[in-house]
Amino acid sequence: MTRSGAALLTGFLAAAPAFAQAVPDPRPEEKAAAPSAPIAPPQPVGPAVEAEYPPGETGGARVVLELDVDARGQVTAARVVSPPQPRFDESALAAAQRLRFEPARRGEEPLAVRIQFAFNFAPPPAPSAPAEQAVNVSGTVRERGSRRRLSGIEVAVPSAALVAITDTQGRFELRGVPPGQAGLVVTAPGYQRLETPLVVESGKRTDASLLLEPLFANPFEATVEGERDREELSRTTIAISEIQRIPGAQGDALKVIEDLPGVARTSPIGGGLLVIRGSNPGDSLVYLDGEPIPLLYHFGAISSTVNPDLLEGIDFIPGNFSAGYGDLVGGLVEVRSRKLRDEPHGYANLNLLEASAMVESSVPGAPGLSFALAGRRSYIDYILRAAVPEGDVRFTVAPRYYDAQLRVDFRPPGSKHALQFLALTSDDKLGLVLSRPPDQDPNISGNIDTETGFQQLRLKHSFRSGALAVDSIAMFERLLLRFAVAQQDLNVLSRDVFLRSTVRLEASDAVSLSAGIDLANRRAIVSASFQQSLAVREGEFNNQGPRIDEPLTTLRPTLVNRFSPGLWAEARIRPLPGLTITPGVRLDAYVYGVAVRDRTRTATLSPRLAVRWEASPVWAFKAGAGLYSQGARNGDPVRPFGNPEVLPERALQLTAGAEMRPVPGLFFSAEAFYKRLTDIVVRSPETEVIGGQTLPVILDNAGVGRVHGVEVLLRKELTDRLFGWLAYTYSRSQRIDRPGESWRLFDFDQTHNLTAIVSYKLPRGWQIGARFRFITGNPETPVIASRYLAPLDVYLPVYGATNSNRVPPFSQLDVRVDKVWTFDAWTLDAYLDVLNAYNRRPVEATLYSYDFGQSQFLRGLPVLPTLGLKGSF
Amino acid sequence: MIGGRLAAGGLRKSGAACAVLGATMLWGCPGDLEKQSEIVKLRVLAVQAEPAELIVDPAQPLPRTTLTALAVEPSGAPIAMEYALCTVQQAVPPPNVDCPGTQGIPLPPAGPTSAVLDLGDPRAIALALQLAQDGGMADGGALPPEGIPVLVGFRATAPAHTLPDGGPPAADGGDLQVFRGLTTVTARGPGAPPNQNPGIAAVSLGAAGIEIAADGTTAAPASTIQRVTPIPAPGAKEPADGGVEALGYSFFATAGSISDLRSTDTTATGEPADTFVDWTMPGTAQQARLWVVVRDGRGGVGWIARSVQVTPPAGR
Repeated sequence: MTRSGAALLTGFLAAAPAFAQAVPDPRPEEKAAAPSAPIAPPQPVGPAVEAEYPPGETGGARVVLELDVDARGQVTAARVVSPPQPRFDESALAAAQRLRFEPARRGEEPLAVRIQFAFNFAPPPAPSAPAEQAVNVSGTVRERGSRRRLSGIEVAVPSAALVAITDTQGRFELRGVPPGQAGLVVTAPGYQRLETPLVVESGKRTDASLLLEPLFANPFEATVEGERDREELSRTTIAISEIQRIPGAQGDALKVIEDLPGVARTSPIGGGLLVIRGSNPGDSLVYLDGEPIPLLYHFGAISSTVNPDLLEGIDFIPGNFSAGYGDLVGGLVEVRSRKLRDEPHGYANLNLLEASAMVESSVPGAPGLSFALAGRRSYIDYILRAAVPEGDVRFTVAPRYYDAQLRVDFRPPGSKHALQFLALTSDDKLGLVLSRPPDQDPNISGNIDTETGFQQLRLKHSFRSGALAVDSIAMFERLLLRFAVAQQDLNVLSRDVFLRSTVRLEASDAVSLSAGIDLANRRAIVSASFQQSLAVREGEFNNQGPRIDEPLTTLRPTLVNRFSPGLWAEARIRPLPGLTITPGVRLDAYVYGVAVRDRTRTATLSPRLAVRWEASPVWAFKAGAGLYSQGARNGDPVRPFGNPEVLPERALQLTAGAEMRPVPGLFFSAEAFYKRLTDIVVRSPETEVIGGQTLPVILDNAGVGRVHGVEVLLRKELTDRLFGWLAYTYSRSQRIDRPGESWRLFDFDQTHNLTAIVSYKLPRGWQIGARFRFITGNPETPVIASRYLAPLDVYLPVYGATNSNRVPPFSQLDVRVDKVWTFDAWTLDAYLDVLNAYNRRPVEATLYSYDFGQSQFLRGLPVLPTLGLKGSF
Repeated sequence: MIGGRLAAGGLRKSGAACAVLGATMLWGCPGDLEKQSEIVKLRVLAVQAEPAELIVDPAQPLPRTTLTALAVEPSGAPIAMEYALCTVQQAVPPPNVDCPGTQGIPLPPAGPTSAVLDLGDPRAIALALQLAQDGGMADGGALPPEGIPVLVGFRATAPAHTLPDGGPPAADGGDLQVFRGLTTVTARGPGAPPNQNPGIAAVSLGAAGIEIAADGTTAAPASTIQRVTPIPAPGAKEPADGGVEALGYSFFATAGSISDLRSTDTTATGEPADTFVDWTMPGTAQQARLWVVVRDGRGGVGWIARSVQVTPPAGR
């Protein structure tokens, strides 16, 4: 585009709000429940709008505005983001109010977006430039370090009064640049001004490749955030660019979940359990692009099994989720993989525990085909072998973990179809020999072996055609769990098949319809021999361990199958502007058991309703109600550990709340929730007669629960420099285990949970961040007496009321410092992540002496610094 | 997932937790709590049944056994014991069963720390019949080959520091130190040879392996670390389950500090292991008492008691 004449309309359009970059590239974004359609930016319509050249001014000027363009294409807000030039600013703001756009769209759906828009002012008498001279200077403008192409950047040859603007590929063209020495000047908000000499030869075309240095280092891709489609009633979205900066999380998307409102902190020793809004661990799941991840963390707590650099972000849905999800009564986290880049990109990362690397690129000569390969491996095993002297504890396999992902995307240009193939593998292994029994249990000695891992192959297909979208994913999974502790063991080898297919139709402006099928078949060979009390259930988590004198319960290798198909349908009705009503219904069936005669078949029907009212651009209100069900899991329906007659658990969930966006980039939300849980699977002391034999019932559905609470979130979204959030949850979660008993606290009932996170970018590549948490201590079951058991030389605890005590509150400050060096083609990030910066070891549990006559607190980790280095290209 | 809960729930609080997690996650394990190997109050360290099993042979009178407790008290206060056959007989009994008490049939004493369990006692017979009826076994129930555990409760008392001949304070601040416990004796039918109680012939001390004399004259310097190795009596390891018994040891002392409460000659998965422990002698001259208990994992138990004269530290 060339410049001519008087002050002209010059627009450069980005697809979405500039949360991180002054000039973001248009990028299609991924939705939580449906893969992405590209976002078409808003297009100016109507007569060109000119800004009046301020009288009395001389010289050229450029005013960059940030505009909020709503879904009708009208400008609802405008603000200046370029350095102040008062009179030009005033003129540009006045002109902006007259701008009209064809709104931005994702597929056919209009979106409200935030864009940058520039007015260029030039002194009125200007020589008319040659109309159609040949292009003799062209080039590309990229960001230094990340090599991202930058669109909408002004490239000028001041001596010739020529200006060009880079297009969506970062390219620019200048016509009629006089031959000889010239200077190219490139300016853009957020970047250092670039001046570079140029030699223009007559009759020849000069091509320049220009690199702009960002003022504030941003080694991570910013996620372009439009107004997210409100399909879920309660959803908090965290972009990966934010996740990677949160102190204490080591860039791990899944660890960040614990910092969100409604999520309980389970101590590291609890194995990274996910407890959302007072629901049992296991009642909430983490999904990767719609299908569950079976094991979240390596060794239960160290780092997650999903590489964060392949992710776009996470969507946290604490409750009242839509009909698209089933077999779940708690909450869920949807982790979204990002679109692969066309240009080669990768990184290598080293810290104290592990090394990881990733590479991605498009495939040359195959348009639309791209791949990514990532891997991670711990080396703590080498450190431990060297650091821990051999003695009574000897490693046969020092703890080691690894994971790897291979992804291949195929999106033929112009096609309505897209395919994605993803292969995941993860494995953890540990082996020990204890040559002496520990004090607490003389039966434990010898080999301790554990191995857990999974492999998944996923094939995803997307189809878009006008108002119709179809997304299907098929997944094959192999899951291995192997534990052997002395003479007790558990072995599970499961081969699972999952299929999820969703159809969406935008029937009209006011009505969208969705429907889908979602089924899973889990087929496992299980063998086990352990004390029943070792498989702790909710309500037993705060006890002192298994009942040592309990005889072993044994299950020989047995084929166990669990089939859970689901059918669902949902409508989104917009009867009035700003009002969205989403009724939905889901039918789930559960078929599980061992043999035909021992198999249980049940079905549940779960209606759901969500209402959202966008009362104004600032305020929104929402409410939801729904029924949820969850079939018996794991060993619960398998004799002799469980009971094949147990039925699915049920939940009623109610939510109501309000959201407020007082200014762009600031978000406030308050939400109240209530849950009623019924048919909870609990241990039973009853017996029943089967085939003339009196057998223990073991488990039944006698448990009930109730949860209520309020969550408050104040969030500053990621812009150039600052982001963070303040989250507070008040909640109370209780259970009744047997009919006639009183309410007691849930194992992870945390009355108050406060988390504050802030991260700030300083100049010269420095970034600092802090995270503070204050959380009510977990409930505990006190030991009130003990009895010596002579044959085993141990003491058996006598418990008080379940969860009738609490440990002291938890509070911790974590700090992170990053220094980023930006080179032409790559960046280097050195980071220091300090957990527990003020070195106050938190109380995790109460430990007792051998006869439970004395007690003291078990304290967690002291200050723990983690150093890391990450190079990215 | 079930595996996660197992790992979290069981391993977390099992004895391996400190070892495994200390190695992998740098957690600190508590050091200030009283250790099981330290004898600072009235304790019962073992209960031996002689014979070790009750063999119920229809052609013979109902069997009996004598129960004897290893009851210890650091100050030498006199110890009294009572035993009772529990009326609650379950595979996993409730730990707070009131036995001796309202849920126990008192057993006749056979010495200061002994009593007799006689299955021919009419009260025991009546209890067995009642339990068989409650369990739905019309013929009174035949004993399974591995036997059934017969639950016996016991209670040891010794005067506390409030009394003239008293020892350490009672837990409740009263006049009596009270210690309650449960033991089991296996009752089975004839077939396999009856289990015998293992024994410990001697205990060696120090790198040189000097046998600790029974008369208490063996000496060790204060503040030194002495290796304590139990020497099983001949025939202590009997054939069992197609192999031989694994012997497990427990170590207790009235002074100093013992490195490990337990050792075994064979781990639960069959590896040979060392049976010694290291005893750090106290820092002052005194008579330190030591007990070593051996168990064969099938209900048989034995022990040995010794004293060591702790000599003053060098240079004093």
